[in-house]
Amino acid sequence: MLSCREVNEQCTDYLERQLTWRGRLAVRAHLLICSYCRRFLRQLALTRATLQRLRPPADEAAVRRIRQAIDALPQEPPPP
Amino acid sequence: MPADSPGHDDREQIRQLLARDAKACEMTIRRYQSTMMSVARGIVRDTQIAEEVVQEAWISAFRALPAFEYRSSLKTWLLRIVSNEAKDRLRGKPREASLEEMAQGPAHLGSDRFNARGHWDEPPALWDQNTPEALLSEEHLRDCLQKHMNLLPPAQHTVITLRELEGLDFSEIASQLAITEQNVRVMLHRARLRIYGMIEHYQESGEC
Repeated sequence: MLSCREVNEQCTDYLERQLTWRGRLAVRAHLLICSYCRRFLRQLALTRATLQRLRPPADEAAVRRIRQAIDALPQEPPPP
Repeated sequence: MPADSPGHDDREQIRQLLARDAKACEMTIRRYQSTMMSVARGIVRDTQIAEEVVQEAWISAFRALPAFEYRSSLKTWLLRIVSNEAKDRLRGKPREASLEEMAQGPAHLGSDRFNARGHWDEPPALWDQNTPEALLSEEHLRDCLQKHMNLLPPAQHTVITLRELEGLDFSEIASQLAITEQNVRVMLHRARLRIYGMIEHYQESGEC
């Protein structure tokens, strides 16, 4: 039986379905009997989902600088 | 159709970019700027050089746009341009300590959390919020997440950004950073645990 620490070490591979079926089964067997690891994994999945919605604020100075650089480029004529 | 194929939106967007539609240019730069910066920083590991690399990448991208062949999505195409520019910058200056950086942080939540038999000593605290929307609705927590993302080692930041924010698969991330998929998994795991630890700390203390 896997320990909680081992489940912790494999949690990313478990969530990303990178474990072998045997490895996956071992994690599932542990989760059946361990509510703390179930909680941890549920909250780790929530962490993922939260990061997926996180949009870093744009660096306004950089956006301006790049706009200027692009505007200075000669423009190709549109395709016929 | 492969997941990476350009969709209708990409075609419309590229048409507008070719016409140098001001709004479309602004929107596209805003959309990809921080991810491109993360890729550049993950490779060159220097913020100032990364800024130059990203600017060069945008210029190259706009120059090459008329020849865009719709073989990949605009996103993947832009990210490849920036990662190639960044790798070019490194030529002759091999980067160091990438393995050290990769292993930064423990492979689990922390040794003090488990007893000698590997069972929880300090079990995971139950969080108050159970949806991403609820978590992100707290301004302090959102700022704290952003801050801790920025504190990650550069390559970990790139991997977690490309995986979570951009939804790239492991092989694409590995090829962007010129590392193995195994290393992508290791870095993603460590970065996620750090962010998990940060949210847990915030839940318990109300502090960042």
